[in-house]
Amino acid sequence: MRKVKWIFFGYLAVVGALVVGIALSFASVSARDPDTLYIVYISDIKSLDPAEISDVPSSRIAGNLFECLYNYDYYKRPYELISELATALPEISKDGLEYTIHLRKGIHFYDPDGAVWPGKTGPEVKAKDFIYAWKRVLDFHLPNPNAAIFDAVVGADEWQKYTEDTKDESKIDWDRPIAGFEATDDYTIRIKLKEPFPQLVYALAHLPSAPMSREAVDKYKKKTRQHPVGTGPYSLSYNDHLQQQRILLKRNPIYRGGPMVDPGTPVAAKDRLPKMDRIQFEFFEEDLPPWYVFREGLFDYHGIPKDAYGQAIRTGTELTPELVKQGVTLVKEPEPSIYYYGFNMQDPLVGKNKSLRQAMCMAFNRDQFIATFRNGRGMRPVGPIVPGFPTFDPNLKNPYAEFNLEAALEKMKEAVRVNGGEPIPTIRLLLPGSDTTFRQMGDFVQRNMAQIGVTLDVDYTNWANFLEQVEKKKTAQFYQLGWNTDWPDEQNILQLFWSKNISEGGLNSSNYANAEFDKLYEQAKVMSDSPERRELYKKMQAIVNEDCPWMGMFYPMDFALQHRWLKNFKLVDYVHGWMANLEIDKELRKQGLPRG
Amino acid sequence: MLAYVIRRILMTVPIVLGILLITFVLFSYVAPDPAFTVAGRGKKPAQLRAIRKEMGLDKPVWLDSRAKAEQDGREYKGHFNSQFFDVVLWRFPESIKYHQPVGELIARKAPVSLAVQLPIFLIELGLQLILALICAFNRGRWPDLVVTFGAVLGMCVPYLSIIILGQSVLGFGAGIFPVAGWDTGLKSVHFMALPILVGVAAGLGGGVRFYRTVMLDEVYTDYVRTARAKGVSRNNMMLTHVLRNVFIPVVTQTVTVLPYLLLGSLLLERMFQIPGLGGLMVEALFNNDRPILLAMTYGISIAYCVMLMLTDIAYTLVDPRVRLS
Repeated sequence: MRKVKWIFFGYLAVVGALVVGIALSFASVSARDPDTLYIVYISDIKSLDPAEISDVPSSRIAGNLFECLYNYDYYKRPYELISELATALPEISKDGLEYTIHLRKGIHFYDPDGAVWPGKTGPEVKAKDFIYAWKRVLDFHLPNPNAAIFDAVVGADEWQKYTEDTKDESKIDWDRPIAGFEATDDYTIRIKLKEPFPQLVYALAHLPSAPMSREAVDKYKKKTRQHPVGTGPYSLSYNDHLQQQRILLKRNPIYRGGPMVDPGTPVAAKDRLPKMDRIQFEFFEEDLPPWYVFREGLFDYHGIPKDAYGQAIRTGTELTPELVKQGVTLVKEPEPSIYYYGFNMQDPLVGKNKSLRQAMCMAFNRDQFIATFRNGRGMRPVGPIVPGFPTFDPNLKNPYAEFNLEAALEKMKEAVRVNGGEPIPTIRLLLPGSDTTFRQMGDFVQRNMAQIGVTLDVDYTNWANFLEQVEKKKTAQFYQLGWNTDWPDEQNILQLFWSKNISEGGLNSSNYANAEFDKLYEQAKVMSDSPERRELYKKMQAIVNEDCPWMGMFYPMDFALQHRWLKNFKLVDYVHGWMANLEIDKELRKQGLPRG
Repeated sequence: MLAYVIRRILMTVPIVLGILLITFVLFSYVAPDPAFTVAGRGKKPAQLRAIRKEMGLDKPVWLDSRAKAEQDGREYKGHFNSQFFDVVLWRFPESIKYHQPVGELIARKAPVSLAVQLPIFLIELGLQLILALICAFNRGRWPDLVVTFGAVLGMCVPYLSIIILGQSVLGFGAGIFPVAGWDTGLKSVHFMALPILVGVAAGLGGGVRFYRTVMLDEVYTDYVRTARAKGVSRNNMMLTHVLRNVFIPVVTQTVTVLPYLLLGSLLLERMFQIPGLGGLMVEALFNNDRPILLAMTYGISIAYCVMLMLTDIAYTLVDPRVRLS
């Protein structure tokens, strides 16, 4: 009996100590820091080495740490290029084959960990730092998907081959020249192209083209991914990045005040640095918990989770009275992206039967889909070209983008004829997820297609398996995918239909090949922006719309909520370093949310 | 006992190696190509070759040929005799996603999982035994009915619903606890309160029902009847004789869950954003991060075998009839 008593009391003591410990910890909880911006991030970053960055979460963080030659104006729509590390937009030769770029002077690298340069401030950014960074983008040993941005540069292929042939990467001669990249002096870069590539200027506003310090890369080697050394408004120390937990950016103390500011320009001390001292990104994998945290006023802005939409929006796009009372405002912006169901054009059934694809496209009720799965946050796609692009026309007539069951049934008769009079066999739809939303979406498409007699067998899988089937083995028959554009030029989307992009892992995942489209694409891709090029883009879209290699789902519309104390907030794409514009009204934040 | 322990350790070796081998074969032949996951969209053949080289996927799956390795200008090591044996020798490679040594990641995240799971386990076990004892004491009377009803109700409500209820009512609604999150060091303690409360509430029912059944089985044994006939009081009977004899199933149940305390609860960690091993494992599964999955499989299988051995040893302490030979 005594032993049992001791065990019991011992247990009570342990549990009691635990409860008291936790209770006491509440007394020491500190409030949110007034000089820090608090933001959620939902997917952990893969790398902070600009050369390797191709995913949105990494770009979102790295965009605050690095700068490029060019950027986009944060406030202007449609997006407008501005010079950042360059003094002006490039001087382009008449034949479009030579670009000359002049650099701003007096901008220095900053290493927050201080391991490369004592005092953390590095040398001035010069032309050689850009050329070194671009050589890294083309380095075989640094696996990255960004090499394509310099495909048109003279000597790029030779450099790539040289790095691949140099088996020991430490033996790569970084001083070996690339004919197309030339530093004519410390502050001037000349780029020579094999063929005109008018999108180069956008590529130079893309994070992978950011300058890199060779000293820093030599110091950190493979750890360059975790030790960003850039010139952006913020910096990230190694110890401030806790995977799957938190990323704390601190302002770069040697920042010059803004992308278009020359270091020599007199800028008031208060305007020289980003508005907020720190930005803390907190990691959340699930939708609902950060939503509650936002509602408590602990995040400064946040998206609206699908399952909490009713708590935020009353009708249409009107906020609920509770949120209005709290001073929360809704910010909206169309995303330059598209989501679609792709047909594998190499598949003997769906690839060879245009009538079947057309019938399926007409049987898909997009408006209902957007209302059900996006709470109305999206637009019915009229073609692959997305909103915000010069040739986007929301009123474009595309019969295959409209829900028309009667016409779809009529098309199905043709589809059966094409199939040799045989009924259409079951089609396999592959979805890159297996959660409830994916299952509901699978059911939705299944029901839509059943109306025209097409039976869908839906396969739910994870992203790794999905890519394997769609891009490697090319066994997926019908699949769901999306495309976020890298820059505001139609070529960035239309490249997804170019037959030369059909390869293992190539961009043309629907394996679409159309000689007429290819001819127009090859003609347009070397042209600068002009009415003629826009006409070509429109023609290409018309060809794709007729052939239906995609069944468009929606153009997404981005919604976010911000608290009343956050200033200068806009939803953006393409722009990097935009968080330096965000500001907090400390007094309002201190007051918190109006209750009652 | 020493001979038994040595024998069990020796038996553990083929079991763990077998588990690892099965995992390795599944990754090598069934799992999708991790280079595709890493590369993102728009990859070129050269990029895929580069990624495969970096991840060691350009090497043969099993044993390597020195001559071929030299010809290819790469390190002389097959996949099997590098990745597999490296893990066996506790030399973990870098995570594919995080580019950090797996050992370092696990060492950082395991204590976090343990910090939440251990209190849940301790509080839950004690409450389960106390409530089961109350039921057994009062079999068929209202305390038994109330506790049993509560336990069945708790078992019927999905874990996710209890979490969301806790977050929305106690966290967001009443503002008693932080809804979710984590900090560093001791600053994280207040974030633990709600996950612990929810974890205990969600896991209580099953254990109460189990221990109630075990205790009731014990209450109707001959020795209890004899002791009661000889005048031993009910309290003394339950706390001394019955409780001691139900320790065997308690030990079995307890020790086998210990390795999972380190692993954490996948759902709890995900919903409360606790940066523990559960989240790491889920991310590794989604991203096909082989080094993490191999290391976790290895670590858990070893821990499980060790705990099973400790269970056997613990039996001898709680039941004098058990002999390890």
